[in-house]
Amino acid sequence: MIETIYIEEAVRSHPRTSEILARFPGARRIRCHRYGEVFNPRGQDFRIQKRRPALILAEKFKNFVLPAPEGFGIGGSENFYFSHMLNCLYDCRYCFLQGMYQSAHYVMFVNHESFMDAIDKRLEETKESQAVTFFSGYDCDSLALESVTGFVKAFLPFFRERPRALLELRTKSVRVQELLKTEPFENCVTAFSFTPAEISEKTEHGVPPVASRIEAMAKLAEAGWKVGLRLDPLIYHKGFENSYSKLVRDIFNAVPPEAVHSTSLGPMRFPKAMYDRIVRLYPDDRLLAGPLSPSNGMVTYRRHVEEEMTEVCRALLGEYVPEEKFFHCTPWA
Amino acid sequence: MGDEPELKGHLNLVVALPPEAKPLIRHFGLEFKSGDTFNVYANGGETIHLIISGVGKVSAAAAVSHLASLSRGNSATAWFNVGVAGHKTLSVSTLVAAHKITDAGSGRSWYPPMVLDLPCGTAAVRTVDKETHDYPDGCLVDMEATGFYATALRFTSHELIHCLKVVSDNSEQNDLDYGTVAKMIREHLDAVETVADQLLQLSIEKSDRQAPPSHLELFLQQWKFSVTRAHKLEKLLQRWTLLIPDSDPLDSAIPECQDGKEVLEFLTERLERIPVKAASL
Ligand code: SF4
Repeated sequence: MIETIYIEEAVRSHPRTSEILARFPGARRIRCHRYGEVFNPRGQDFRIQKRRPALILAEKFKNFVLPAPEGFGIGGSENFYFSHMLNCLYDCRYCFLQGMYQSAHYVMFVNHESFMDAIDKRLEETKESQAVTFFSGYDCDSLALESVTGFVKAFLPFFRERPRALLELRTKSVRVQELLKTEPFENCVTAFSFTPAEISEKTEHGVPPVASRIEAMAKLAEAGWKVGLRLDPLIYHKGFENSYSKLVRDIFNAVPPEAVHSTSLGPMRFPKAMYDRIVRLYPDDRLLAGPLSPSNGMVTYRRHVEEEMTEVCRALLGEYVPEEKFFHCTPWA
Repeated sequence: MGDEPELKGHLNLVVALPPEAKPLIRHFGLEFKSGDTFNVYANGGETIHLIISGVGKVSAAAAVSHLASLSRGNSATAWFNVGVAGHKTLSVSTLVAAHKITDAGSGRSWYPPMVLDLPCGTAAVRTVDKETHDYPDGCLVDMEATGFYATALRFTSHELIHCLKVVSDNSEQNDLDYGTVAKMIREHLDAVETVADQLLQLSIEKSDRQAPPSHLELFLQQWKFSVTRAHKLEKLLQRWTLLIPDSDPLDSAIPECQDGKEVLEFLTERLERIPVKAASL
């Protein structure tokens, strides 16, 4: 799966680097000074790279844990995000990562301990009475590359000992084995993002089928883990009421509502420049050619469409989950 | 780069020496095209060009610039450097693709993305200013790669620029015999072609992606558009092609629109009415 691995000088002898290299004995190894030399140069073609992304093993030096964007939250009074990885195994056509980064290579920061120190520091800066949420799947999928990153394995014990810190693992993956091997604890939510099956098949390339993801979600719930449900982004199509209704029904047929920590809806929105970049990469994509229009620097569905979808989906979720578990997750609000 | 030519896939080959060029010229069926500053060869359809740059990174850079304007390439043109290089341990005649290119003078590096099915192993290439028999561990040593790569990057993206090197000398056999260079290249023509084919494919793909919608020119002839409106028109026609492929936008717009503003309104309004079906996403 990984044919090429770039290794930053600083992490050449890091134990996590050695572990990963041992897992891919046949991969081409290329040394670089800093990961930015490979990842950041302009003039890279994300679409072509996405067919054969390389892995970049790197060290993160700063900005380990950042305040979550306005409008992003699931009940905590303080919200932060951290990215142990940049880019994703999957290829959703609406994903903002394809418009954000020059390169489709996976950057993996091997110095997990520095992230942990930064999380502790953020906790120290907040009051003992405050619940603090740490979102992990902002620049990647939290679980999809677990077999490579060992992220969940490393961070579950850490969060278990810090009950005031809520960890959200955001995913479209079914790789829940590490969680299932671990005794569940309260302050970890695995949040599954869904679009209806017929939309997912067309727009979420490489993502496991909706039914398999529901199954993974149900397994976690059954094991005693808290799960989250994210209808994000809401994708408009003819008959969306029915397809979202079926999706929500299928999910709650498998997952007991009591296991659901939170639900949220996310509109499909892009900053205008990001949208233009993505369309330049995929001018042949019909989702992006759909009824999206610019307004106040953002590209979105028209307000009435967005509001109607939100209203319908909120009502659908309301049939199963109480209002206080419902949140809006609207970056770039 | 001048007017955007109506090309599909386009490949520009850059080689330093006539003996490196000779087998490639024959293999790709190229003919002499011009020889004012550099000797340039091209195939009949002018989809493949070859330039002989001479030795050194400055010459390689100048040759890339020259060929970029002569071949009327665009940002979908692929660039391919084929040549010889030294290596401490690899045996003479081994074929290697560059996965990192470092300028020995400045220390700056470039990383050609490994997106092709390569017919050979890969290694880092170090570009030096003077011929040397000092071979750093694991690296190929050449005199052109950084000049070639850095300059080609001004015209296209990293994925479309690659270097393929045949080991011509090593720590045991370091008296490079230029008489054998042509033979070494000839031995690897199949591999060169494998890479060239893939680069041409990428070039076609990029070219398709960048192609303006087919009706744009006709609309611009029919009505007047400011630069901003022409830009909007292009995006609307691109969406039309995807969403209503069976309907001719020009035929639809002519009876309805007096000027460019009305055209944009008409196209926007028609596109708004297209139902989004999950099955056709
Ligand atoms: S799963 Fe999430 S991060 Fe991955 S490609 Fe899809 S939207 Fe992007």
